[in-house]
Amino acid sequence: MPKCCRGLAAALASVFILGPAPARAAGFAIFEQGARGMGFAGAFTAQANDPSAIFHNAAGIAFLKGKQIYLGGTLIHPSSTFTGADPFPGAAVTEKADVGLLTPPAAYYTQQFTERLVFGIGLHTPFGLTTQWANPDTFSGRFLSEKAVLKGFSLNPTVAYKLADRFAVGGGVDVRFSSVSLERRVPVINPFTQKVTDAASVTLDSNTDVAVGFNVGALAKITDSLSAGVHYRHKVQANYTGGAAFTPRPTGNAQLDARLAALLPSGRQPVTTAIEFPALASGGVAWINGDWTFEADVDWYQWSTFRRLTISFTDHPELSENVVEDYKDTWQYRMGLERRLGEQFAVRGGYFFDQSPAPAESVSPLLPDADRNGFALGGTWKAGHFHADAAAWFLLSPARSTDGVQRDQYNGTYKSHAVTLGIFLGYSF
Amino acid sequence: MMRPRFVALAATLALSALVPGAGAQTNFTTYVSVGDSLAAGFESGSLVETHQNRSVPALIARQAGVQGFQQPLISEPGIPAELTLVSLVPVPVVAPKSASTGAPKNLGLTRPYNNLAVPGATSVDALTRTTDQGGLHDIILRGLGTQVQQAVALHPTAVTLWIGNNDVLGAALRGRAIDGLTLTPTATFRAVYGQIVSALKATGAFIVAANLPDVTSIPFVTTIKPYVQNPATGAPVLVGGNRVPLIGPSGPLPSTALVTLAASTLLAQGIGIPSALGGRGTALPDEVVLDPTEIATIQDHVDQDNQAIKDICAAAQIPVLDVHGLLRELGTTGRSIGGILLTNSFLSGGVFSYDGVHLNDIGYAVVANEFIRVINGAGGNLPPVDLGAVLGVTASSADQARASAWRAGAGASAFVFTPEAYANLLAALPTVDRRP
Repeated sequence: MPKCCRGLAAALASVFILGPAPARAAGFAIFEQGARGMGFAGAFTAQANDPSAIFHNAAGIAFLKGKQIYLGGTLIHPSSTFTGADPFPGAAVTEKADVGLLTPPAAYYTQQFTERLVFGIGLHTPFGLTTQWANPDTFSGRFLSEKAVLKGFSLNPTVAYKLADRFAVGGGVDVRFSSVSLERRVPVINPFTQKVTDAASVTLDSNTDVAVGFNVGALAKITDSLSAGVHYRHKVQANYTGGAAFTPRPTGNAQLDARLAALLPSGRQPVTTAIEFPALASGGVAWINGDWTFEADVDWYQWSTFRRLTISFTDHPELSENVVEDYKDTWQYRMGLERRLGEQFAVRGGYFFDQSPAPAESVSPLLPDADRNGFALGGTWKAGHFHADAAAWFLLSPARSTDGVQRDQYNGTYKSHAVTLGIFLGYSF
Repeated sequence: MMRPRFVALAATLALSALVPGAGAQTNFTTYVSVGDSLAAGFESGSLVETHQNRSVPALIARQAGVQGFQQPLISEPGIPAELTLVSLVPVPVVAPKSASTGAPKNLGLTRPYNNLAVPGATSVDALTRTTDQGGLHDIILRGLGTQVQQAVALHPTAVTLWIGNNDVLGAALRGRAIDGLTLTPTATFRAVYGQIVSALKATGAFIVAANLPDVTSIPFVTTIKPYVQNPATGAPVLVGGNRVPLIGPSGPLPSTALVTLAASTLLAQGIGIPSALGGRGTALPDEVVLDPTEIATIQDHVDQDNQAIKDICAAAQIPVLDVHGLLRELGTTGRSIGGILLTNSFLSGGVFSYDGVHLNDIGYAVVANEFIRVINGAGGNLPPVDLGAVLGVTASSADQARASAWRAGAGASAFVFTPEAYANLLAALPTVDRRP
C-alpha cells in the first residue's frame, strides 16, 4: 500500500474502536430483572422470594411453593447529552443521544419437586446496551461511534435445594446468547480542501454467540425476621464472528466516489471479536418487622475483565484493531424498604449507587459511562393466585467529564439520566 | 459560602479575564515570535496571508487574547505563489497556482512585527542577518535590524523561539548532506543558539522554545519509495518475488534510501527506472536521493542540535516543546483526534501541506496546541485552539458539501511535483552558506 494510502488505511483500521456502550448502566450491566426486586432498588439477594430469584439468587427458589410463573418487561428510556471541550470537538459542540425505548424482557418458571428440591428456568437480560447519537451526518463523534448495540439474553436453568428448613443453596447454568452491531463513519482528509470528509459508513454485525457460564448462591433465613443471601454469577466469554460492510458515502463527485470505492474493502469482510462479560457477586441482608421489610445489598462487578476490545479482520489484518478499555472492578450499594398494606397491597422504595467502571480515558461516544444514582418506587397488587408488580427507576448520573485525557482526544462532558418502568405478572398454582 | 480553594480559583479566573493569557509567570501582552518558515506560517511553498493568519504564533496570540499582534502579511497568491493540488487523476499534480506573486500588505507598520519569523532563516540568520537583497528577509525585517535585535527592541513579555529547522532542512531538500553548505556545523549551531537565547532572556520575557523535527521523516522525502511502483495501484513491482530498486547515482538504491518529491517528474520520464521495466535505465541525480550515509549525517545533526537546544534552554529555564517527538508520533502511530487519524502522509495525512515540507492549517493548529500545553505547564492559562473547526468536522453543512468536492482519491502511487513547485520551494529556503 503506498504511503499516501496509509492515512486512510489507518483510519479504516480505527473503524472498529467499538465496544458495548451502555445507554443506561454503569458498564453495560442491567439489573432490571423483576419489578419486585426493582422496587427494592435491586436489593433482593437476601429475599429472592419470587421466581426472579433465578437472576438475583438461585438459592431463593428453594423456598418457592408449587409452580410459579413470573414474567414481564422493563421499558427503559435513557437520555444523554454531550458538551464538547477544546481542542476537540470544541467547546461549542453539543450532542444528543437518540435511543428511544428499550425493552429487556424477562420470564421465569419454577416448580417444586419435593419439599426441599425446586427446579426453575429463567430468561433474563443481565447485559445489554444501545447507544445511538442523533444527527449522524453532523455528529462530531461519528468517526468513533454512531450506534452501538449489544443484544442478548440468558437462558438460566436452575436447581435449588434446602439443606435445612432455613438454609438453601442453588445453582444454574447460564446459557448466554448475545450479538453486537456497530456503526460509524470513516473519515478521510480531502486532499484538495485539507479538511475531513466522510468517506464511508461502516457497519459491523455479528452472529449470535452462545456461551455458557454458571451461577451459584446461598440463602439463610437466620431467624423469622432476618435473612442473608450471597450469589455469584461467573464471567462469560462471548466470541463473535460476523461481517463488516463499508458503504461509500456519495460525495457528489464521480471520480472521488470511484476512488473511494477502489480503496475501501468491498463486500462483507469477515471479522471476529470477543467480549468477556464480567462476573457479578452479590451479598445482602434482609430484615422483616411486622408489615415492613428492609434489605441492603452490596454488588461487585469484575469489570477488570474488560481490558481491551480486539476486532480482527480475517482477510485484512491491517484493519484489525485493539482498543484499550482498562475497566476497573466496581461496587454497587443498594437498599430498599417495603410496607405491606393488608394482604393485597404493598408499596416499596429504595436507592442505589452504581459506580462506573470506565476510566476517563475510555469514556467515549461508544461508551459514555458514568456513575449512577438510582431512586426506586414500586408496588404490588395481589389477587388469589395472581399478582402484579410494578416499579419505576429514576436514574441520575453526575456529569462525567473526560478530564481532557480521552484516548481519541474526544473530550467533553456527558450528562445522562434514564427512567425505567418495569411491569411483571406472577401466577402460582 | 465559598471555600478558600474556590475563592482562589475564582480570583484566578477573574484575573485571567482582565489580563490576556495571564498565568503565574506568563504574560502575552507583548508577544514576539522568532523563527523560520514553520513559525511564519509558510504553507504549500508560500508565505500568504490566508495561512499566516493561521500560523502557530497567530493562533497562540489569538488564544491569549493578544491585541495588535502584527504579521508581515502577503496578499494572494503569496510569495512565492502558493502551491496547489492541480489534479489527482491520473496522478496527483502539485504546481504553483499562479505565475504571479502576491505583495506585502503591512510594510507601513512603524515598529517591528510581532511575528518576526523569516522563511529560510537559519539560526545564524536570526542572529546576524539584516537583508537578503529583496528576499523575504527584506520584506519582514525592513532594515530595522536582525530578527533577534527587533525582538529585543519590542520589549517582549513573551517569546516563542522555533529556529534551527533550516540548519538541517536544506540537506533533505537538496539530497545532499554537506556540512557548511546544506548543514550548519553543529558547533556553530550550539554557539549561535546560545547567543540567541542569551539576548532574548535578557529582556526578561517568558520564553518557550521548540526543538527540531527529524527532517528525514517529512513527506518530501518519504512519499516516493526507493523501488519501482505500479503507477495504478502503488504496489511494488515484483520481479522474481523481489522489489526492483530505482537506479540512483551509484547504482540500485538500497531499501533504506530516500527519494525526494523532486524526483517525481524524472520518474515520470522513465529516469531512474530500469529499462527492463520500460524505463530509460538512466540514474536519478544525486540531488533527488538521500543515501543511508546522508540520512545518518542529517539525523546526527538534528540530534546534536536538539541536544544543544535542550542544554541551553535547561540552563536558561526555558521550557521546550518536543516537535521531534510529535513528528515521530505522526510518522509511527499517528494521532487520533476523534477517530480521525493524523499522520505524516503526503496529501492524505492531514498535517502536511502541498510542499511536503511545511505543515498545513491542521498541522499548525496541532502544533499551536502543543505550544499552549507547554505554556500552560509553565503557569499559563491559554485555552487550546478548537480543532473541530480546523478539521472541518464541526463546520456548517455548506462547508461539508464543499469539503466533499474531492475530485479523486488519495492513493495514487505516483506524484508530479512540478519543477516550478520545486524551484519555488528552493527559492524560499536557500542553502545555509549564502552570503548577505
